[in-house]
Amino acid sequence: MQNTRVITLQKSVKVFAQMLFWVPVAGFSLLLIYNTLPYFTFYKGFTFIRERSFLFQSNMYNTCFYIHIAAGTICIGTALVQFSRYILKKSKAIHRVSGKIYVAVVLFLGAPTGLYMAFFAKGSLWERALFVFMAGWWFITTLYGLSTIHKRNIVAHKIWMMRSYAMAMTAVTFRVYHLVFYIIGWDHLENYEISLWISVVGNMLFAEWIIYRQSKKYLKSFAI
Amino acid sequence: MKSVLYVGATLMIGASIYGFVDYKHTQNKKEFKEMYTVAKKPPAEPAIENLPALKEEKPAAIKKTGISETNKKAKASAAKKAQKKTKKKRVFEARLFSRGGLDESYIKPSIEKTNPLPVEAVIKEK
Repeated sequence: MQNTRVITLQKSVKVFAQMLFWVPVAGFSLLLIYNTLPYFTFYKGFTFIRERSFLFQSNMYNTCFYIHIAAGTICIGTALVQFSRYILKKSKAIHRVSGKIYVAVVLFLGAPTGLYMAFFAKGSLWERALFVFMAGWWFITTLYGLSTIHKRNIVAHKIWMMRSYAMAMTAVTFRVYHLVFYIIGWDHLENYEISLWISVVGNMLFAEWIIYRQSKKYLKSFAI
Repeated sequence: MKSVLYVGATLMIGASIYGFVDYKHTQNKKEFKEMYTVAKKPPAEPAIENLPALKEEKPAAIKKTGISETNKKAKASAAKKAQKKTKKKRVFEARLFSRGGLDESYIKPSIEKTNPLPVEAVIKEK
């Protein structure tokens, strides 16, 4: 009797912890999508565009920017569905379709346009290099995620997709840190640079930590 | 799978080459160098001249009564108050959840610009 209670408690704690992670992730992702939609009115008065008004005179940059934000919106929207075990159990078709959309959008739109824009990013040469790395790593992890599922290697697929999602989520975590540091009262350029580094390095480390935890569980399952 | 890899890799290589060449072209341009540096404007001077009590004073009366010193103090305190008013407390706003520069010099005008026109004005324009 007591044992079942302990198990129930453990399960509810697990569900609570998952909610604690996924509710803000979903909330901030939806907020990002909501804030991105007005850009498609092609109004040039947004802070981001006014700040880079010189770059927006170039047709190439303009095109890349709008493709990139469209791709980012789709990526973050589709990725929200991908990590749900419930959806995966109920219908694999949803997972497959949204996964294909995610991969196609990252490989053909999001990463290449991000790579082009990385050369003109705000900050020093290091921040630009970081953006270049982000675009490259996002592309590579997504490509590996695709190739592993083609080989029916689900464990590796999960790992690579987690890494890919961690890169996609830098857009969200960056905004969170940026806003928090802004409220604290930091200067906007140093705020931008620090938020960028924390979001990229933090997301990568977090993804690796989850992978490590899950691989430990996976290895334990083989123990006799 | 291979076609996906080839198309994706071509796009990435193309983007990196085009981006690098474009960057090299624009790198030395003055507009690009100054793009991300925010011109720090001095805090807005309060419109002291418009303050009714201070404006109505006449120079002759000031000399006699010695109000000039109190006038200066009043001006200084008014300036301090105005400065305090311009430094608003930063709070969470959903619209600030963006990659755009979070700096008052950028944010303030955007509020004015993004405010939609009244419906009557839009109809009149049409």
